[in-house]
Amino acid sequence: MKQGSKSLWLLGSVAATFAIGAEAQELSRTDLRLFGGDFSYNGLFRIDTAYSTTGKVNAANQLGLGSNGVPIERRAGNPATQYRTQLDDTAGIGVTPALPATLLSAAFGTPITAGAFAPTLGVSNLSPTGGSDTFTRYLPRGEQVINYHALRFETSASINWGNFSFQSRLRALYDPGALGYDEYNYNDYRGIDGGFQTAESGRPEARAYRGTPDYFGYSVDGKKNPLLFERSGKNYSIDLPAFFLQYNSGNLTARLGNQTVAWGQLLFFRLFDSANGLDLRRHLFVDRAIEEFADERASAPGLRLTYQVTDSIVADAFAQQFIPTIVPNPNTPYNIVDSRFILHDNYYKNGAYKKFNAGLRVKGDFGQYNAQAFYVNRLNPLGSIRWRKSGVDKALPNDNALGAAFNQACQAAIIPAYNLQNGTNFRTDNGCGPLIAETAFEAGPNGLNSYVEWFDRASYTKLDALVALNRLIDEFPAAQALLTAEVDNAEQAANELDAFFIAFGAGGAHGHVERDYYREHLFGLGGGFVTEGEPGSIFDQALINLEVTYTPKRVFTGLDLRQRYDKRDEIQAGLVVEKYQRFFQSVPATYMVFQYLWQKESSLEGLLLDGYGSENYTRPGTNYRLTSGVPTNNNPKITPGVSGGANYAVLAFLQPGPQYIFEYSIASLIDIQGGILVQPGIQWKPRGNVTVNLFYNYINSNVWSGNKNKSFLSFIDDRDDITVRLGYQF
Amino acid sequence: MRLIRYDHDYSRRHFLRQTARGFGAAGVLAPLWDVIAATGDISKAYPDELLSIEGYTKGRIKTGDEISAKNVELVKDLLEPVRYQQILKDGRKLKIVKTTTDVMRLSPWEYIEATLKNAGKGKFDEKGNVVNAADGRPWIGGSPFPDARTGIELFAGQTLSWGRHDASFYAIKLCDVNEKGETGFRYAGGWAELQTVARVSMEPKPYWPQHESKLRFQTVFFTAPQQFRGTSFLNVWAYDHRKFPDLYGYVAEFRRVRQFPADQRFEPLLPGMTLFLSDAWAAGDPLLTWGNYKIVGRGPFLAALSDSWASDHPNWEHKTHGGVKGQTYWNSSVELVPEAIIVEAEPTGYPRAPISKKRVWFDARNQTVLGMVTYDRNGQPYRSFDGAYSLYEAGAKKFMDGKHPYWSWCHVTCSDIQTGRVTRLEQVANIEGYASGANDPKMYDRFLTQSALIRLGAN
Repeated sequence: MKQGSKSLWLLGSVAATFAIGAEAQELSRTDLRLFGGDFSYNGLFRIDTAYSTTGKVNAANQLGLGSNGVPIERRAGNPATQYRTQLDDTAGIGVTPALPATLLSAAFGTPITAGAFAPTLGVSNLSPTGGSDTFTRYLPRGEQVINYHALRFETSASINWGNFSFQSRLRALYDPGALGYDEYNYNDYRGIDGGFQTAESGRPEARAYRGTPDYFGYSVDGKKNPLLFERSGKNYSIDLPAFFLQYNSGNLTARLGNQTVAWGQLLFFRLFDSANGLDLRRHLFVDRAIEEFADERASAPGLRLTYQVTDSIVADAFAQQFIPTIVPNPNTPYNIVDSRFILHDNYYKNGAYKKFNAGLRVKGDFGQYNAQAFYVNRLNPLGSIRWRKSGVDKALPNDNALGAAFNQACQAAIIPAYNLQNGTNFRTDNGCGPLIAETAFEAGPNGLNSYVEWFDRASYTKLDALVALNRLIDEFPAAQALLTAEVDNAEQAANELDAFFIAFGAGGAHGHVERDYYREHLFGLGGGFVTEGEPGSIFDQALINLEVTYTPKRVFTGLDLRQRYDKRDEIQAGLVVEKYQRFFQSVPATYMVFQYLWQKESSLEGLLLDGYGSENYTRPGTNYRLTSGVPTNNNPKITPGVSGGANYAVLAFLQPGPQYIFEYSIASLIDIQGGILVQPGIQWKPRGNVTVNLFYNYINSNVWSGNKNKSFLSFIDDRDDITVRLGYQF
Repeated sequence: MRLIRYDHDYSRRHFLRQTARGFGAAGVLAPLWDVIAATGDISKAYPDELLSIEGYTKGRIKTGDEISAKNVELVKDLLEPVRYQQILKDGRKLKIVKTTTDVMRLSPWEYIEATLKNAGKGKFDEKGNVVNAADGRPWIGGSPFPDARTGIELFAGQTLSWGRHDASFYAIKLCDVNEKGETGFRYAGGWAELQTVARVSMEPKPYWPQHESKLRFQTVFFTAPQQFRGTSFLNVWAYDHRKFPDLYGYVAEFRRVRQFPADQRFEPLLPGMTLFLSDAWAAGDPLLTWGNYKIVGRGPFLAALSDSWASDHPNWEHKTHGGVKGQTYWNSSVELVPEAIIVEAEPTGYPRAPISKKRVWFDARNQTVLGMVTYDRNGQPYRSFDGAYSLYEAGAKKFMDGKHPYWSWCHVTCSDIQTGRVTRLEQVANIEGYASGANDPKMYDRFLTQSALIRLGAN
């Protein structure tokens, strides 16, 4: 669809929504009968549009990468010196012991010499040996007018048969795609270096990498639609967030079916709210703050039993199928994983979808005091990520000296030796392809191309650029066979990385990682009270609650993406103080909330704090800064970490106008490490069936720290946007 | 020739004298409560001019007539200023029906019986709470001060038992009509209230032993529109009326029950609404969080106390009229109330409340609230409330509450005088299977616990 017609579509859909709405005002029915029960339904149409105020494409996406269009000098290291020196500082590639000149001569008739290879796409200043060059990433920097737009339809239907009832909610979304986005399309680049095999594979998980971005789909390795109550594609999603039978007998309520379970007094900080993961595919977690995770909390099929033990004590138990937190797909506006890394979600392949979570909470309210405790046995919905074999048997491109040399060496010596040593039977007619398939990389267009990107992306992802490289080597025997060497310092790493990135040719290297889910035990305790003070004073009737959780041996993603995950005991403690205070007689009371969260080991998005605060490396004499706000030098601090735990604060206010026709709100999330997210917003309800929302997300991950990488908000630092919502409900 | 012993102004002079004294028994010809206790009928307590509209207007308006702009001047003194203006300028009309003289038709049967049985047993303790004088325990049922002499006695009875049933569930539809006569906001939901003390019908009575320290459980929830579906709030009232209720809420967006501060009772319950929690039954707050109760007037009044059940609609939905588009006011049947006692009170426990006082009209016969006007901080009229009660009995049609026809409210009109917005509520038979009714012992588990809130917040 062309841009103009898409605009018309959007305008048309707005008009249609309100036209339908005008007719639908009386549609909501509460006095119908169906299957012998009282049947009712209602619903809404809504259009959400988030206008970017930065104009930037997400820095994790192909068209938003800081390296696009930046000439970066690359210097391959010499494998003979474990990359402590550079090839061009020696006599040349032909004399390195590992790449005997004789092999190269056999392949090409003559040793690799100056002029044997023409510069490939993006390459300039190619050295005579092919051991150094300047690479300019050829993808353009995109522009983004709109971060998010979607047409939404929801309908709730229920049938009541006395003690039994059926409850459902259907949610359908459509995103027309390119409207307002500079949309990356893999098909524009598939001719480079024979294409990107993962995208071409046709496997379910490849959809996110094929063609245009997959805005709403959730496909995992081995399964196109792994969620029982959802069907989704690149531009649409239909699911049933609620679909269950409910039975009520006296003080017992049972629910069987797809549903959410939420606990806790804290808002946004999910300490007790541990039953379900989040679905972050739509507007990430930067929707209207006052709605918390209304649209994000993921449902799961299962059984929930709620028992009113006494008049003051409620017990609430659940057992649900495990459903993970779903992150945005590559190249979508709120993506948080660099799109050059293929994230293999093992939810289906490793059988996590067969697993169940279960939990029990007991809560007591005793006048102005309350107490609660819970235990949850679950798979951590965030999962843990590590390097994995790419499985892509694709040779390095032979159109550059290093690629050709590696391929020839692989065929003639390296793979035969590897087969002999390891009892494998890898083919010897596809260059280094069989061995690369055994590493975490794959050659293909629009991959990583330089050490500068490596350091930049590692620090962005809160990983250790050096040890992550070492784990790629020491935990993958095939990588060791490819003349790699573990590194001690950034310069050595840069040399080694450049050697391979040059060999990976015009396309570059794509990393493969996998996400697995591990069981954990959560224990929680909480309590609170209501203050009593002078009537009408700020100290009267404030609600104060403290919630603490302990998770022994939580499995975290290692800073180096190691195979054996990092297990640590996690402690989280959160405080919430809420207060309604009437400041003006002419308008309703102001709702104010203050929250504080401390986490011992991990940040708010679940990554280890040890990975925070990295600086980026640039070789002496160069100054490549791919991410502004991150110190870059030739002696960088790599993963200095955050000591004393993570600290976050929330301050929020909600001021309704008369009759709540207008609501003014401001919510702020402060990462004590230096980042803030501030969201002022207005809600206007001109009629009962029409709701208009306007809110602005201001995000700055580097207000006072001097390094964006100290704050978890660095993942969405340029996602500032103004969201307009037009909703019609019936 | 019939001798007219009391001329037409006798009752007016009597009410002025009584008001000037600040207290006094209801009734003009005889003490009302003595008459009721003896006969169950009020006729002997009032002269003819207070027992029929014909008598009051000297025949210019008759039972069955309609009060409209054409004749409202004749009954101006029987109306609050707001209803008068609405009739005069906005097309509001009231149908006149016969005055009810049988007190058993003016409240739930068991409540009246308990009132008769327990008359004289109530008193205020040293904290200011109403107690059974014999043992100092909570009140035992019915109106504690049927022959109320002070404003706080009238409010005490109203606050102790809102709906006069031990348990009530009301399926409710709400509309907000703007000054242009357009219905802008529509809501549907339910309201449940259950007495833990002063119980007159449900066992155990008069107290639910484990809850003797409480007064009631009360829940309000919404089923439509979609944005508020599942939103619900549970109030747990302490019997000590110096304390705020505990408030728990299931907010649809949060998908869970959370505790909320309970001291802000002057906030609109929903967007577009003119209703506050404080407005419930004109006594929505604990008795002792208000103060300066005083009787400021007495006199006849027009109120809807019968013939208001919309029995001709399967869901008891009422028809409307008036305003620009005929949607602003309920079709109402009103009758002449012989004696209304007007009481004012101030929100002394809410220094930041947007209102300075409320003026409430009580029916002297049974202390039910007939109407209310609240005033802003500048002393200007702010909002006006008038409602309709009825025995749910219309010819052969009856909706029963145990052995007797159901008595309850039917509809309420809340007018924001300063903006011209009108919020209309009506009790309907059923919302999504939640059926209106009284004294169902399952009501507690169904609506009035935290697990009930979770259940009501279905999706």
